[in-house]
This record gives sequence, C-alpha cells and structure tokens, in this order.
Amino acid sequence: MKKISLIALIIFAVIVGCDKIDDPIPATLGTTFQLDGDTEFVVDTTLSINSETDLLDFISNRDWDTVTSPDNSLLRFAVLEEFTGHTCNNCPDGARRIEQLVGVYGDQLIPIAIHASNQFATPYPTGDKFRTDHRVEGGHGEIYLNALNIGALPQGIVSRSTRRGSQINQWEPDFLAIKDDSPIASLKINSFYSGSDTLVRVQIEVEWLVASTETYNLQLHLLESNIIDWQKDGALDVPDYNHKHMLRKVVNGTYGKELEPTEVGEIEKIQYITTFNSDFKPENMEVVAFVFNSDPSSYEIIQANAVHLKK
Amino acid sequence: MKFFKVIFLLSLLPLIATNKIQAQSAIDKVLNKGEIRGNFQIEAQYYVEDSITGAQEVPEDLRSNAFLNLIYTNGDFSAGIRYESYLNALLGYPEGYNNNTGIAYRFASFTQDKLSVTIGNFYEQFGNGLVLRTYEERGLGYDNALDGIRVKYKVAKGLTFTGLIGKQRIFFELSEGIVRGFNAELDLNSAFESLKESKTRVLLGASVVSKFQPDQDSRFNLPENVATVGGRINIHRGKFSVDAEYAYKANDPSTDNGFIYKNGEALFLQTAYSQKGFGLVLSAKRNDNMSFRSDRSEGLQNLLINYLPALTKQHTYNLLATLYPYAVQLNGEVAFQADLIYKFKKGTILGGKYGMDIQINYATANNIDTTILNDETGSRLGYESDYFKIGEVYFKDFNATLTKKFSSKTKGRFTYANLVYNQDIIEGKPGAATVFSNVGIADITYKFNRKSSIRTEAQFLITDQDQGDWATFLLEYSYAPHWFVAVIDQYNFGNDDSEKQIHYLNGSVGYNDKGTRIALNVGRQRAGIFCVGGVCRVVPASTGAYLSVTSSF
Repeated sequence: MKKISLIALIIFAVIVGCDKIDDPIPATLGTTFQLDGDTEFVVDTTLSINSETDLLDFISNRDWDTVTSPDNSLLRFAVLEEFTGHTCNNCPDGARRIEQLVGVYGDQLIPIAIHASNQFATPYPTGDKFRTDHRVEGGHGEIYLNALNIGALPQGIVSRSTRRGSQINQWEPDFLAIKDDSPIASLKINSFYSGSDTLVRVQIEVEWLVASTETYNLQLHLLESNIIDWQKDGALDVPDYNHKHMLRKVVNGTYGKELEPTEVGEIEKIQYITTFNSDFKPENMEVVAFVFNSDPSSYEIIQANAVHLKK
Repeated sequence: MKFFKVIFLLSLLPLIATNKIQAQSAIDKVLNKGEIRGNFQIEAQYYVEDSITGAQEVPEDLRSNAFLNLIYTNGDFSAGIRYESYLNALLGYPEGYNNNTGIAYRFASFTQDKLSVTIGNFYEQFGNGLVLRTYEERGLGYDNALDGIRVKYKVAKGLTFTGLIGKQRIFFELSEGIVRGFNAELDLNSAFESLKESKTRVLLGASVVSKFQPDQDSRFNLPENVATVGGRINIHRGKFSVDAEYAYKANDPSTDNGFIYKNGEALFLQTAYSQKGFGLVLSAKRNDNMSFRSDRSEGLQNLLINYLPALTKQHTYNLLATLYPYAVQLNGEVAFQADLIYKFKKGTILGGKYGMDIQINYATANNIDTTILNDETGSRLGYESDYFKIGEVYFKDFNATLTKKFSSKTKGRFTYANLVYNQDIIEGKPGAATVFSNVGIADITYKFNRKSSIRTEAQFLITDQDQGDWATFLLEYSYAPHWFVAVIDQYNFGNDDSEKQIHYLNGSVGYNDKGTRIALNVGRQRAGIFCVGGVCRVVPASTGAYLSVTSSF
C-alpha cells in the first residue's frame, strides 16, 4: 500500500505538464491565392479550395449579387467601437446615442457593438434570461477591451484616435475632432453574396492618397443587427431588445492583415472569401473594413467603410 | 486500516448477525462512535427603491443567501456536505449564483497510518498560495474549491508529499480546465536527528501546479498545459523568523494579460521579530504577470488557482475598510509593508495606570516597471520589466492606532490614516483622479457595569477627490451576554453635488445565545467595496431590511 501511494505521488509529479510556445500566431488565417495578378485572395480554410482552379470554379459556379460601399476618397470615415454587454444597465443609453449620431452623420460614422467584459457580457449559466453569449468567437472582444483601455461600460472609442475609451457624451466631440480630416487613403468594399450560402466574398481596395512613413493593417469584420434578445436597460430586464451592429466575426485575426508600404496612387486589392455561422441572418449583416496604424502605441483607424452583406 | 474495518464490519453485520436486533445493535455500536457537527447561516434582505441613494429595488423584493454545513466524523473517517441556496443572491454577489440552490460542496476522507485521502471537494494551499490556494470567503462570494482527489503521504519523518487533481468550482458548475498539483514539505528538525534539539527551526517546501485547458482559439497557438513551480523556506529562531517564497509561471496567455506569452513570477519575503510588548513585521512582494486561472478567458475573482497575498492592512472601521481598500493587482505589483506594535507598560509616563498600545503600519503598492516591446504580431512577450525599478503608485497607507484604557470603566481606540488610492487602476475607472485622504477615528467604550456598556465611534475621512468628505457616527449599546442595539449614520457631507450629501442611517439589533446569533438591520447601506486579503467585490447601495441568522452545533 505504501509503495503504491508513493508511486502514485511520483506519477502526480511527473504528469503535470507545461507547453512552451514559440510561435503564438498561427501560420495562416486563410489560404492565399493570386489569380489575376493584382488581387490577393484569402480563402477560408474550411472551404476546401486548394488551388487556383478550385477557386475559379468556386467563383464561376455561383451567381453573385454585389453591393458596393460609398465613396470615401474625399472624406475620412470613422469607426465607433462601442463596448457593451447584455447585463450592463446603462449600455442601451450608448446604443440609443449611436442611433442618434448615425442619423446625423450617416455613412461617415460606422458603429461596431463589441460585447465584451466578464462582468457584463458573460451569459448567465442558469435561468431563462441572458443565456446567449454575444461575445465574438475567439475572445477578440476582450483583447480589444484591454488593448484600447476601455473602462467601466458603456464606453466607446472613435477611430482609436484617443488611447482610452470615453463615455457616451464624449463620442460626438471625438468624432467631430477628426471628421474633416483629409483622408490618407480611400477604402472601397464590394460584397458578393450568392443567395443561400453562409459565406461571402469581400473585395477590398485601398488606394493611398497621401504618402506616409507609418505602417498600416487592414481589418475586416462581419456585423449583425436586429438580434432580439435579453438586455438590461436601467432597472428593467428587457426580453426583446433589438441588438444592433453586433460584432459577429473577426475575419482576418485580431489585428488584421499587414498592408504594403504606402505609395501614392497605388491600389492594394484583397479579396476575402469567408464563412459565417448559419444562425446569422445575411439580410441583417454588414461588412466593415478599416485601415489602422499597426503601431501598438497608436492603432488609430485612418479610413473605414461599411456595406450591407446583401442587397 | 480502521476505515476499511468500519466499512467491512458495516457491510457484513446484516449477514453474520443471527437476527435483526443483533445486527442493528452492532451497527449502532460503530455508528455511536461517530458525531455530526455543523453550522447554518442565512442572510436575507428586503430591498426598497431609494431615489436619493440610487438603491435599486429587486423584482422579487426579498433575496437571500443561505448555507448549511454538515460534517460527519467517525475515527479517521469524515464526510460532509455544504448546502447552499441563493434565491436570488444578495445584490453585489456574483450573478452566477443567482437562482441556484443545492449541494455545492461534498467530500469524504480517511486517514490510514501515513496516508490521507480526500475525494470530492477540498481546499488546499501550498505555502503562501503563490502557486496554489483554494479557499472559501463567503462574504465575497468567493469559492474556488477543487473537485477531485487529494492524496497526502508522510514519506519519512518530517517529509510530507501532497498530490492532487481536480476541477475548480465556478458558482454551481465546474471549470473547463483541469488542475494538477504536487507539493513536498520538509521539516529539517524532524527529518534529521542531529537538528532535533536545534533552536533554529527550518521548513522547506517545493510545489508544482499545472493546468490543462484545450486550445480552441483560431487567433493564437495557445499552451494547453501551463505549469507554475515554487520553492520556499521558513526559518524560525526564538523571537526572529524569516519567510521567503518564489514562484515562476510559464507562458500563460489569458484575458487578464491581453494574451501575451511572457513568463510570470512572484517573490514574497517577510521577516518578523517579536518579544513581550514589541512586535515588528517587515514584508515585501513583487508579482509580475502572475494571474493563474484554470480558464484563461475568465476574469474577476473566478477560477483563480493561486493567491497573491495583500501587503496592506485589513481595516475594520467602515470608512477605511470600504471606501478605498486596496485590491491586489494580478498583472503586476511591487508592495512593501512595515507593521510595528509596541506596548507602553503600566506605570510609565505614556502607559499610565493601565498601559497603552500603539500600532503603526505603513504599506505601499506600485506598478512594476514595464517597457512595451511592440511585438504583438511576433513573439507576443508584451513587455520587459526591470526587477529593481517600480512604476506608478497604486496605493499608500500610513496608519497609526493607539489603544488606551483611561479608567476601569472607560477605554478608547484612536486611529489616524493617510491614504493614497489610484482609483483609475484599482477600480478600473479610466481618468479618475487619484484620491488623497486623511482619516481620523475615535472609538470610546464606557462600561456601566459588568453587563452593560456603550460604545461610540466618530470617523472622518477628508479628501478633495472622488465623493469628497465623509463622516460616520455610531452608537452601540450592549447588554452582555445576549443583546446589542446600534445606530450608525454615514454622511457624505463634503460631496460637491449637494444632492449627494446624503445621510446613510442604519439601525441594528442583535441577539446572541451560545452558538446562535440573530441580527436585524434596517436602513440605508451606501455603495462601497468589500475586500478580504486584497480580493474585493463591489457592493451596491441598498435600502431596506437585512436579517442574519448564524448558528453552529
């Protein structure tokens, strides 16, 4: 008995493991192809597209409806990343403010509602309320929450032009501070959707308008609106709250894809072919892309655009 | 072997006994050796809306937390359960407890010679807890008990091994991750005959704890197994003692650290000298990236495997304890504390007729020094830190307490504290100003006779930041050994917003009888922060009636 116990204890000591990771970032977030020479295709690895031929067949065998984003070659579009949670009592005030701002500033202000924070976005483990996990898959929301210095919710950050989150009343002044800036680049999105699929082709074209020595990344998100679910609103638990602009998928990694060095007049073309969850409703989805300074001391979004996923 | 004998006897008795009466008698003999102990607690609060303080009402009007512990012991065998009920949990408790009731903790354990085995739920601590500490702190709603198996074995004189494996409790569920641990503890004086009589006592310890959680993340290649190792030494000689512990954690990307792959480490040092009438404790601690949870995506106080001791004084007076208490910063902190106790003898100038005690405490906590590496798309180590530099101030607390008996009927306790509180970091309120405050407290007790006494507290907290100045007045009458009645008013008289210059008036009455205590409070409770050992929870403002019953048997 004694020997068995001793051996068992030694086994305990040996089995405790530890993995050392030297390559934190997965080698690829999609398979890359170059078809016509100037567009780089990044294809979801779950689609079994393994060659240029597969890719051409995939594109040509479907009928695609196209939606094109507004022109922003003369305007700097801004992104308002709103951090929220379904058990955050004051967050609906933030959502209502966003609707007012979008009503006034239209396409130039692009909201993204990021459900994050352990305190307010974690689903209840039991009961019939707040059971849905609205946090974007992969934990990206929590990373943004930390990296962008977001404090007590509701807080938002406009184009990451400030290094901290700000309260509701500060969102409009922060937007106005950059609204009339000349854009460094234009960003055009074409969304191609083929009827009933749970996938979308997103063609992005970035044209550099001003030379810059900074380095920039391209970020692509899928959003969904009109999600009816529970939300705390002041003292009330609202069962049929309409959640809008909810971040549903971070398509190309937490910090996106590195762009080529800026060269005035050059257009960089990238097409993502990505899938999404079958629970998402394509008619309520938006595609949002933005270009941001990749220096972690900045992360400022210098241009953005958005388009409905389907007509 | 006793345990197996008991079980064996119980199982065979019905077969070998010649009739039912004999069998019952034999079972009774064994069972009569056993005993059941336990305790019960219920806290219930009736909430009403209070537009002045912002206190919420709740749809169910009444909420309650209740607990019953039952522990059966028979020789070397013991088993127990804890029934918990949160219908619904009191405001301020983690919402995960809500609408849950049932047996949340159960265990069975036996000891056989040098071997001790526990199955089910258990609490365990290796050293100071830098690599492992599971415990329950009911006031915080904190319970990270393990559910699994623990084996302890006395390998040789003075040498004990502990091995464990289990999953941690999170509310009424278990964590996704698995925790494995091993600890060795060596008492040199017991292990070696030559040191048996030595005045210097030395204890050595070494631990390794590893967690496993699957990698289901498309963003990163995550380590599924993360280990923490630690070593410690405790030396005690006469009036002097030294305690040192170091822990090292391998790459552990998590929500807490923003998914960086930097290693973590923690160092805890404490030295103490004490003799009659004098005690001095000096402590230092540095922890860097040492949040260690069995679920990398969790936050708040959920699923922490380790514990980083707070090097700040645990105050008890309400303004000091709940307005600006310090919460240990898991991602990085350098802290120091000095604690001095001196007793002025009776008959000296300062001691007077009855003597006088003075306690002086100074504690500081700063961020560690960090240099950002900007390697988020590369090795993701996040930052570098110079071990011997410190960063921004998180917290400072200088406090002195004087305890003096003035006559056979009157005694007093007087406290002064000066606090520096970085609200931005400690409460996560970006841009909030650091609070600088001075606190003065007088606590006087007058004894009418052997049974009845009256106690009064006057507290002032003066600050230009946050909510401004506060005062608290308390009057408490006790009729020993059963009754007490008290009234307390907390007044935010220095708030810049005159509408928030609110009185938080609360009355209470209580009854004690042997192991039972019943207390009823009626009135307002202001919002605050409740901390135990540097672990904190936010308590919202509430108005209503609060009933508490505790009993043990």
